[in-house]
Amino acid sequence: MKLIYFAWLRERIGIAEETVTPPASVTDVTSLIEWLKGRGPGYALALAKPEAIRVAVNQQYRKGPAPIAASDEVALFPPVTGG
Amino acid sequence: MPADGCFTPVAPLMTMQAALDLIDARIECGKGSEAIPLHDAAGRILAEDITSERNVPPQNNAAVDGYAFAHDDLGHTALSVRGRAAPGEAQAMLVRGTAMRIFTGAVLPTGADTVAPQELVHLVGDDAILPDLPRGSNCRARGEDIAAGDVALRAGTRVQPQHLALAAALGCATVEVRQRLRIALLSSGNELRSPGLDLPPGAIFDANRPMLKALLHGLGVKTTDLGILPDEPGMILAALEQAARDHDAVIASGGVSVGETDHVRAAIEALGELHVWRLAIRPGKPLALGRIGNCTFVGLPGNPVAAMVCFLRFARPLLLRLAGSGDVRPRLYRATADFAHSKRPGLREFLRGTLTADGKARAFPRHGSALITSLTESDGLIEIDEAVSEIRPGDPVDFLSYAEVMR
Repeated sequence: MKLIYFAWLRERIGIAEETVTPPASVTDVTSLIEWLKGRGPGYALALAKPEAIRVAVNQQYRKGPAPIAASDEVALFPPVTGG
Repeated sequence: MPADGCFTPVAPLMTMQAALDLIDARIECGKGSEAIPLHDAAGRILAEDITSERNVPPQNNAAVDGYAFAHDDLGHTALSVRGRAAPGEAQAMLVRGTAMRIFTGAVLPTGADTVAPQELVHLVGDDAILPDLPRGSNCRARGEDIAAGDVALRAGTRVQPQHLALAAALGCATVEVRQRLRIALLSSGNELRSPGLDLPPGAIFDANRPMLKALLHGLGVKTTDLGILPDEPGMILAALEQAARDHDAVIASGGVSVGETDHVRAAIEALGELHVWRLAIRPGKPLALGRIGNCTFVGLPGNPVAAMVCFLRFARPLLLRLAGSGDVRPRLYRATADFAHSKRPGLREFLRGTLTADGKARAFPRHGSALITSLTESDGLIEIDEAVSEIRPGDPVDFLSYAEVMR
C-alpha cells in the first residue's frame, strides 16, 4: 500500500511517501490511521487528531469506514496548512 | 571616413596596443544605413539602438504547467480546481479560494500570483493538494525580460541569432542596419600562382587569398576577388584605381610593404598615400595602410601565418570599425602555459596553440612563421606580452581563440 503525506503531516512524520504492508486487521481508513499512530512518535503526533486529517484513496476522498486494500494509494493531508 | 593622413604612424616601431588605439581613434564608419527584414539581418550591424515599445513578456504568465492560485489561499492545502488557462487565450479570472489549471506561457489569471508545478500537485477528485511555495513561484513577470522604453539592442551590435530572437520578441519586422562594406581582395607577387595552374620552378601557390576571402566572409562584407595582380605597372595602377572607386577597402597580401620594386606600393603612392607601420609583433612586423580617395588600403604580409595574425589583430578591427561595429576588440582568455619559450623582450609574440579544457595553453612545437600547418594544428593564438622574455610552464599567458575572431 502506497501512503503519501502532505503539508505538516509530512513534516511531522518526516517522509513524503512510503510503501507499507499493514496487518490483516487494517481494513478501512479508521483502522489504518490507528495502526499508523503506533509506528512511532512522529506518526502519533501527526495523527493525534484524526478528525483534522483528510484522506484520499486512489485520488478520491474517503471517510473513516471506507474500505481499503493492499493495492491502494492513500493520501493523507490536513485541510489547512497550520497545525 | 578616414581623415587625411590618418595612417601616419605615431612611432617608428609601434606596439600592438598603440596601433589598435590609432585604429580606434582614426577610423570611423562611413557607411550609410538601410532598413532590411529582420529575417535577413543575421551578421549585419545595427545602425540604430532598438528601443522596446512594449513589455516582454507582455503579461504575467506561467513558467510551468500546473495550477495557478492566490498565495493568500494557501492556508488551505487543497483548493478545488476551476477553469483552465492556455497560452494564446485572453486573461481569465480566478475565483478566490480555488485553483486554475494553467499551461506554460498562459497569461496568469487575475487574482492569481503563484503557480504550483503539476508534478508537485496531488489531485483528489476535483481538488488540487498544493505544495507550500513562496508567493510568485513559477510566474514570469510582465516586462521582466525587457521593459517598455528600455534599449534592447545597441547600435553597432553585430546581429547574432540571439539578437534576432530579442528583436522579434519586441515585434521588429525590419531593422536599420549599416550597408555592407565592399572589399576588394588581391594578392601580389611574381612567384604566386593560383591552385589549378602549373607551378613553374620558383613559384608557389597563393595560399592567402582563399584564407582571407573566408575571413572576410566571416565579417559579413561583400568581397570582390581581384585575383593575383599581373606584374605590370600600368595594369596594377588601373586595377587599383578601379577597385578604389567601387570599394570601401582593398585588402592585399604579399610584397606590398617591403618590396623595393613593388608596383602595388608605387601605384598606391601615385593614387593616394601609403604608410608602413612597423609593429613590435612577431610574426608580421610590417603592415601597410593607406588610402586611395575614400578607399582604405590594407597590405598584409605575404607569409600566410603573418597574414592571418595581422588580419585577425589589425585588419579585422579596422574593417569592423569601418563597417560600424561597436565591438571590435576580441576577448582573450587567461591560460596557463604548458610549454617553455624564450623571446626577445619588446616584441609581442603570437604562438599558435591549443587550449585544453582545463585552461592549459599548448604551443605548436615548431615556431617557424612560414608553417601553415601551425595554423591548421592550432585553435588560437597564444599571445605573449612585450615585456616578457621567458615563459616557463605554469606561467600565465593570453589565449585568443580563432572562434572569437573568425566571425
